[in-house]
Amino acid sequence: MSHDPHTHGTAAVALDPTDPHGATHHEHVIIPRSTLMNVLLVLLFFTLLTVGLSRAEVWAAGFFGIEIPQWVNVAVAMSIAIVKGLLVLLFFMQLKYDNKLNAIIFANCIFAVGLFLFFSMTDLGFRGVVYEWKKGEISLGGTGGVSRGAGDHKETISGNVTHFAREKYLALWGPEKFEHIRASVKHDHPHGADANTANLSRAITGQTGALSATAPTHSAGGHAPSADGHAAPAGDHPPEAPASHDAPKDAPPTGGH
Amino acid sequence: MTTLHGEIPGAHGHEHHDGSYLERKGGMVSTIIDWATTIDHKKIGVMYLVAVLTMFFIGGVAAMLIRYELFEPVRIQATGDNVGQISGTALANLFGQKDISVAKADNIYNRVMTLHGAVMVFMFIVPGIPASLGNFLLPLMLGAKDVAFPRLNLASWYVYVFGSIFGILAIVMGGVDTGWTFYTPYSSSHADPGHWRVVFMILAAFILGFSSIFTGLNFIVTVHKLRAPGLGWFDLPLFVWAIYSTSIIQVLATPVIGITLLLLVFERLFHVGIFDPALGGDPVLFQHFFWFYSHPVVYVMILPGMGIISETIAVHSRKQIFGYKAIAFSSISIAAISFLVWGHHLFVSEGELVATIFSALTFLVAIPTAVKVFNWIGTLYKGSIQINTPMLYTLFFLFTFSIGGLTGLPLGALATDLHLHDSYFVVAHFHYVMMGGTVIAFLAGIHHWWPKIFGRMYNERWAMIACVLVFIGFNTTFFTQFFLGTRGMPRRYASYPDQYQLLHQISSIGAAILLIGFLLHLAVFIGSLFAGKKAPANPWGGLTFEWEADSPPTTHNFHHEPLATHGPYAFDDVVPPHCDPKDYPIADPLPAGSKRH
Amino acid sequence: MTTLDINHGPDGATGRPYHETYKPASHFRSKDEEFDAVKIGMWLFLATEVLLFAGLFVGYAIFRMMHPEAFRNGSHYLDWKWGCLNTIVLLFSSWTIATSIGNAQRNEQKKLRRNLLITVACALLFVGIKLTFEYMPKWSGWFIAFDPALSHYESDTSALGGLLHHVPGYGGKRPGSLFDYPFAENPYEPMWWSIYYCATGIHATHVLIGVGLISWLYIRARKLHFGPGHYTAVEVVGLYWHIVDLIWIFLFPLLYLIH
Repeated sequence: MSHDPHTHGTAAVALDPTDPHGATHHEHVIIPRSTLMNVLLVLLFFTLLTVGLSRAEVWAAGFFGIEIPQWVNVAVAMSIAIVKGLLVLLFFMQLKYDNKLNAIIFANCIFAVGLFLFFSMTDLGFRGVVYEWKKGEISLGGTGGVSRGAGDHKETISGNVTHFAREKYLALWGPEKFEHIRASVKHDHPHGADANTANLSRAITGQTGALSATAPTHSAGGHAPSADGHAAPAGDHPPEAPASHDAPKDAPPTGGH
Repeated sequence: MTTLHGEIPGAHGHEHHDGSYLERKGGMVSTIIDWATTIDHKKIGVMYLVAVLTMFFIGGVAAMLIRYELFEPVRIQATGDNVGQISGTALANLFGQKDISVAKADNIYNRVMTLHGAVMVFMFIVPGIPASLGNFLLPLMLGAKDVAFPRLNLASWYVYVFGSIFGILAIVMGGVDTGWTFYTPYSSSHADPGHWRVVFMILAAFILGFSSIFTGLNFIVTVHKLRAPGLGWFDLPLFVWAIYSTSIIQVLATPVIGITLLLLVFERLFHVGIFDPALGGDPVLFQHFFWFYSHPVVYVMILPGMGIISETIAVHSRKQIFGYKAIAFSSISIAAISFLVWGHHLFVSEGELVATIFSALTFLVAIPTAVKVFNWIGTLYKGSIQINTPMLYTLFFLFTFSIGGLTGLPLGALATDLHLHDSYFVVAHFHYVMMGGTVIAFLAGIHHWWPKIFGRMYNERWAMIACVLVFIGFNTTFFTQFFLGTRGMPRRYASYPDQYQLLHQISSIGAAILLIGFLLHLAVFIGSLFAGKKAPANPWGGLTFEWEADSPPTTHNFHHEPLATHGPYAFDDVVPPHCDPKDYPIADPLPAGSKRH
Repeated sequence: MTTLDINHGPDGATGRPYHETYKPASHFRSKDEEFDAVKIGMWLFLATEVLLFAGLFVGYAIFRMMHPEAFRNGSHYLDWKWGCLNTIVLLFSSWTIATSIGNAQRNEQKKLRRNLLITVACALLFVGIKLTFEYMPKWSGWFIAFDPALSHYESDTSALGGLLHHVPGYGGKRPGSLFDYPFAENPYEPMWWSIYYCATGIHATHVLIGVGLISWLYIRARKLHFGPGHYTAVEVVGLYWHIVDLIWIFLFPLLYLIH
């Protein structure tokens, strides 16, 4: 994209010799229409590209059973987003033509974001690398016990919320209707979780399989995402985490301050 | 620096014949309207000064209540009819509640303690110096007519007042017991969802953040765009460097507390669970979010104080500041390092790996800080030191701030911190830095610029007596707390075992002396406003632009646009503006037109 | 009162439009200096905006790192088609407002107004899509009648004369303790919804603020306030609008495209 920004005629003002900033003043730039149009087209292309790659990944996983590791997904999506972001910054936001100070301000801000991200993730991602006990205990979905609503609608949630919601609707609808509605909303369709694991080499639900397969009558049609089949009877506690490779590191107990 | 007499090309070379900015325009009502709608940075600065000192008073009352409660330990009845009851704590008695349970008595203490912390941090010390003295002085020191965005500046004051009203509302409704840090789950999962007080206090801090951002943003642009002709970056007074660094932190750190508090409000109202272990969230994450802002903000509190000290120490020693660039760059590097060390506030709650990294990084802060202290001492060396209130406070600052800084080191080391964490040692440390540093520097600055701001001199003798009282009171109050902390007295407790009583009582007596000192200062200020001698334009022989303006300055600050012709501390080379050359003999005058730093 | 003579309104004496007679506030040396100052101020403000959202991105990163399954499941409940459409809408509006700056610089008043209007329309469209096709069904299970997804489900009740249809068991995908969806597959799914609603909700609020700001620009543009001599407001509101777009450029893949 070559562009030749031209300044508008009235910009030529005689500089005040004693003005400490006159020399550094940036001229007003009019970005050519074609540049903006090209940038828009490239941005739209990258949007479709990132969606396309992500769909291709789903397709590859579903059709061939190729499971691409998650970091690839993140790396690809973020690289495209960064390129898109840079285009917006440089052309739409005119950083390319602008006072360098504005770019420095923005770079500093991104640096601060990086520090924030880096140190918090270092903490929460590396608990217990030195001392095992620093990891804390795992209680899936939280320790529970919060209450919600007010007045007559107030209810206290025992156990974790997902479990609570499930029990509530099981009791409300009865097992048969529950299973029927589940099959209808979690069918393979755009809005639902297309978590058909039939073609995968391993169940994508991992450690949480028990939670999703707790309907008393076993799920119809093989759409239940759990393939590892340790179904727990309804009304059971949410399972304590079997230490599978992707088990979450749970929140450690609150420390002092 | 001298005014350039003659025509300066440009928009504001023309001469203004306007009166003092304090001049009353008509009657009472129109004067109030005039102040309430002003976009003059000087008036806004004075309004901020009044507002933050009011909040300092409220926070101070809470501090006195804390010391009152801690004068005696709470004794729980172990025998008789009222087992487990107490015969009323000092505070509970004060509020007319007798024979209450320990939990309830603790609750009163927790509220007073939170009130002290939240008011002092969010409403006094963070906006304190930059918004009041900074607002007044920054454009003057740059030789500008105003800050870059005057209306934003006024908006920032109103936002500040609005936020403070929220805070006061929370206090009036019964107070908040979360501590000023709002740690989850104390602040998030209170059993009774009707506790709007906590939401109000959180919103107060959230709103105050906007005021802080507006001020910081305004100052950065002002320093970049509105410097007077000839005023390069290394001709800036060091106070400006300090305010500039402060503003960078304000702009980059404050939004994070914004989102943190917003999420906390969601957490409290809807239990979204991000910080709540009951829903799988992580309370330590809140601490990270909170301290990502609140640690850098510690330097928002202290950097402007350091800036003031750089000014007062040079002017009152009448000596070129030692190591100008070192001090200037140390301000910037403190701002940069401030973003790398927040984890030292959560050494006992965060992971061990990141704690090690944060501990190592924490020691970096000591370098630029020590650079400043050594340079200030170097400035004193062979200077012609004048002992007056600003200088006395400056020397006082060097003493207390050094203690505050050095006691930070054992807290930055992981092993010793484990013992000292959450003890009175921490309380003493940050009061030595915040009060012994910032408040003392603020007082030095108020006295230094008082004649400029209000056009009146204060009573030097009584101000110095008050200063000595503050010094004695402050050290008595807080030095004892180092001993309390090392002996294991934890912070934030309403009571303590009997063996701590002597030290607590000494501390409380110190607080009373401190109070007397502050009241004396207040009397001196009021006396000065009503009966003070008229101040000359340049009572101390300062060289920066603000001393070139009248005392008090005119509405447009300067009669002519000033032109920088010498460095801000070139005491050896120039006769200060408005001063008699006989009083300020020049040993080695420079030829006209040349410039020396 | 103020002595800074900030110029308001068209020049009464000559009747020339505001942008031709515009004078900077008197504490600036020139119009250009004021323009630069305002832009630096805006960039500083944008830095605060980015750092505000940084909290949400950090929250996202940490909880995704800790509970990758929940985030994967959660993302599958979102329809990437809506996300993609909204991305296109925002990108397009970014382009129209970037173009409108050029219009002001070239004194193309009609095109300026048109571009501003299109930007406002896109912003409203974005929020509209978000509310009707994403938030409402997920939160409550109520679909709007013309939602294409509705054909996949069995609706049990309808309201407002058939405009809204309720699908049992679909709604309840809410943050934290409000979670009421019976078929969660991972105990941390409420956490995903917390992050989703906080991030997109705060973003949507910014979009609505943008609607207000750009409408204000449009009203001023009708009064011929902007032209080659003065277009600072268009430029800085444009910057704000681009940062809103920029945030979405990152939110979109992070929320919609996880596998």
